[in-house]
Amino acid sequence: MASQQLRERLVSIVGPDGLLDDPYDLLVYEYDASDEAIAGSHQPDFVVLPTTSEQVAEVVRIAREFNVVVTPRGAGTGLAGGAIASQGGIMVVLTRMTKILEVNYLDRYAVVEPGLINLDLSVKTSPDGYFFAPDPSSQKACTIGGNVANNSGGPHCLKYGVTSNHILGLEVVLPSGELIWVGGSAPETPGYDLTGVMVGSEGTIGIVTKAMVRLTRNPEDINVLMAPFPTIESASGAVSSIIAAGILPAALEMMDALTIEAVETAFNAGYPRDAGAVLLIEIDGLREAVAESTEEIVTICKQHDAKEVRVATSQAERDLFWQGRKAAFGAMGRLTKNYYLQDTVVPRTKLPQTLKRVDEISRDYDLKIANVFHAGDGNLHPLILFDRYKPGDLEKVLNAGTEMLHYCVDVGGAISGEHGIGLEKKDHLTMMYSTDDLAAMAGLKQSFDPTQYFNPDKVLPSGSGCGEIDSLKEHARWEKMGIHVV
Amino acid sequence: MSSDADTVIRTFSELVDELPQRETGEYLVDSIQPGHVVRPESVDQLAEVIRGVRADRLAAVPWGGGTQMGVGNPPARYDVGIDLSAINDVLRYDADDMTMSVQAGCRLADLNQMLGEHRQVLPVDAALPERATIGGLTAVGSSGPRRLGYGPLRDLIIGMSVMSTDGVVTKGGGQVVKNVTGFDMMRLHHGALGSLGIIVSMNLKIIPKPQSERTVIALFDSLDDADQAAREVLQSQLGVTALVVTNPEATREATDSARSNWAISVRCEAPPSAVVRQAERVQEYVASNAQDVTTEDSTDASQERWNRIGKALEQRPAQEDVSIRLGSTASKLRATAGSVAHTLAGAEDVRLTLDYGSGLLYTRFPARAVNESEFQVVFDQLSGAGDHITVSTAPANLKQSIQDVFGATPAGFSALESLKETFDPDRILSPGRTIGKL
Repeated sequence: MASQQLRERLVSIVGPDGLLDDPYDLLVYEYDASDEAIAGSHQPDFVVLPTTSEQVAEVVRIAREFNVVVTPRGAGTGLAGGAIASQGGIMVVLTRMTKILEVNYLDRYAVVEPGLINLDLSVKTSPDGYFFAPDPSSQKACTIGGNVANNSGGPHCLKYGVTSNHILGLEVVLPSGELIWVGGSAPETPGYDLTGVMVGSEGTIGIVTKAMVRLTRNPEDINVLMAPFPTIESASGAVSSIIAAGILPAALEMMDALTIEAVETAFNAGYPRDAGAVLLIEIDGLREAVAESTEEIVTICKQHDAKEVRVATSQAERDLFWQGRKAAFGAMGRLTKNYYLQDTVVPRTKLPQTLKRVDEISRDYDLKIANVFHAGDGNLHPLILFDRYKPGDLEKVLNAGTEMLHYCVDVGGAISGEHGIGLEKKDHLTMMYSTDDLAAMAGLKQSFDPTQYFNPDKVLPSGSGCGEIDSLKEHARWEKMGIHVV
Repeated sequence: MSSDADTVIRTFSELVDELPQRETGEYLVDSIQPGHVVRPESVDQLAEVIRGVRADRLAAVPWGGGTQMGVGNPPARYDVGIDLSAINDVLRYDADDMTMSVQAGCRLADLNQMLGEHRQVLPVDAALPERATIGGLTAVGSSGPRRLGYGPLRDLIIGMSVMSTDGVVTKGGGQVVKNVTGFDMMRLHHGALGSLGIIVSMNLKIIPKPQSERTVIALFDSLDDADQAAREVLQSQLGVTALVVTNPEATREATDSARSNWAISVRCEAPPSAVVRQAERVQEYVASNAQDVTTEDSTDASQERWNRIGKALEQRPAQEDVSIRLGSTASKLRATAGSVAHTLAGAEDVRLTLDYGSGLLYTRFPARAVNESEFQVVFDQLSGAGDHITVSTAPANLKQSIQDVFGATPAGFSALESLKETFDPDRILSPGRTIGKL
């Protein structure tokens, strides 16, 4: 009865109400926000809900002792299956660790627990004039620990950078069971940059128990512009010209006609229904600089045939413009039963041709595809609309999605801009990386987790686990000799 | 499998005579002279060098422009210097994408000159940009005062290719500004002093060059007054891109000023009409308690001012000077500076640069102020004044007299050891130079 013993030990750490193992309770932990058909669903043996760092460390030590795998999880909003217990075992759910432990405005940081919801931090600090910049669309639900694991993005990454740029230090439990701090409020901590390595590692080399995050000063002024264009091409042209003019907006987002239809039906955000594409542009900074850049952008948009450029004049109008964008995925329910959200990224100048290719794929597969994306940094989010119960639809969707990935990689892009690799895309990593590259990544994993019990099966392709690095290197040598290894 | 039939590994001694070599006396690290210095002219040749070094179990130290070779513990072994300055092609520059791919030996000033023609910039500070290479800056992992406005160099690196100790190039990241595909291998090599692999090339995110800039300089009688001004500007919404405070000795060096004052220098970068107003508003913020407030009122003068401030951050190996960098934060810098001044009270000409925008304090003082027997004590006292410490330059005998130029061994050191073991099992790259003498 190893499992009974394990249960007792876990209860002794997290208490009886900190452990779930009733199959009904476990149901919601079987999946995350990724498509079940793609990432699968797997039930953990136990869910533990620790409330302190020490409890997390204890649970990890017990898992190690019992030789059981560990899967960390925040709010489960991940889109790539990164928080699924693919081999069962213990799921460490951090949603009871939600405290803001310290806020220091002069030094521009906050120390928070990993289960804190992203938006809750800015809600707390914005009255004092500071905010946490990473703003994934799920920010009302996703946790900061999850943002760290996935190196999450969001519309404002264009100017402010991704999560990695906003994490100063972390308290983590390593697979060794050690509970340590890496990084800190002073920059350039000597030694290897473990903070940087941890961010985006999807819980495969450590579990974050506290995060020291950068706070950004609210800009003095913000303008939000909404510009409808006759076609996606004309909108893309405007994006290129804005960037080429040396303007770095805070956000530069595009929505196509299908998305506009969904959003307008659902929310009435004020986007013209007859537009081929809408650009949402936010400029922030010093009052004088915002005014100067706004004028320039209005001129550029008109040169690219924008029918009008509306500058939001009130907070309410700004919120409305943004609501349409942030709730676009939700609005898709007006158009479809299911959608598969792809996340790819291309060099920004390759956007027009990539969108053309997406359109071709849409026709080739006879699938409707809506486009809503971070135009400023080339991060696409094609939403492939389908009906799960229509035979053959799912296969078509998967093939169409993979075809997009291939195209994006071919034009110099990447297979995920901000959603992560998880279970969903791990076997696609070979599109971008050679066996040697993957062996180096596997070496990083192995350095922290030699027995591969932290969030198994994620990020790295199947077959790059422990003891397989040497065989990876061997395969690399064969491939150089022209021998393809399957 | 006829494994590796066509890649016969030659030892370093077998191939050294065919390699472009350099004068070894120019490549001292902490007074240690290597047996050979090679300057590979291609990535393939670099691979051959690495394989040879490993076959002979030698120890190699990579070199960029040599502007920061003072950083690091004295090498445990140093047989071969590898000068990467000939691996210096710009592989790709996509101005419209605002990204570029460059080899490690490219010099910062050259890159910024090229970018400037397209009104773009790599917003990275270096004391000697005309010599410093992008690979070297990354391996040292330090960023200057403009970190406040643009973040550290680390955050501009979107992809990297690294030569492993097997002589194989592996890459991480990509060519796009947003990318979560696989582990961020770039982070591993940033600040690793070339101890886990040799950076061959990197992909960088670049930004539009600010159209114009100004620098506001205010002089104060005391650190307290300068500190107050610094705090107010930092907490304002003025969006300045760099802010440093210098003590009278450092101020004299940066300004030729005959006066003896603490000074605050604030960098403003914005569109042409906005920047004028920005500088005026900064002036209003710093004016109270200031003895004098001036503004460098052209872009060129402003840049020149920062070049001179940057010189204080120079980390070239020095026989005459000790320079030390302490981690701190804006709220603690005044106290950190006080402790440093107290510790170094006996020394003359102690220069202090307090980078409020970053949270770093740089001090530089004549090496004659300390001797070997007391340096550890001084070092420990300085170490206690900040969150972390690095000896950036010091004569070799002083560096050898202390346990670790990076101070205490950090928590989780076993993870660092295991990374070193994985990526450099034979300890052929910069052995002993990083933290904990890894």
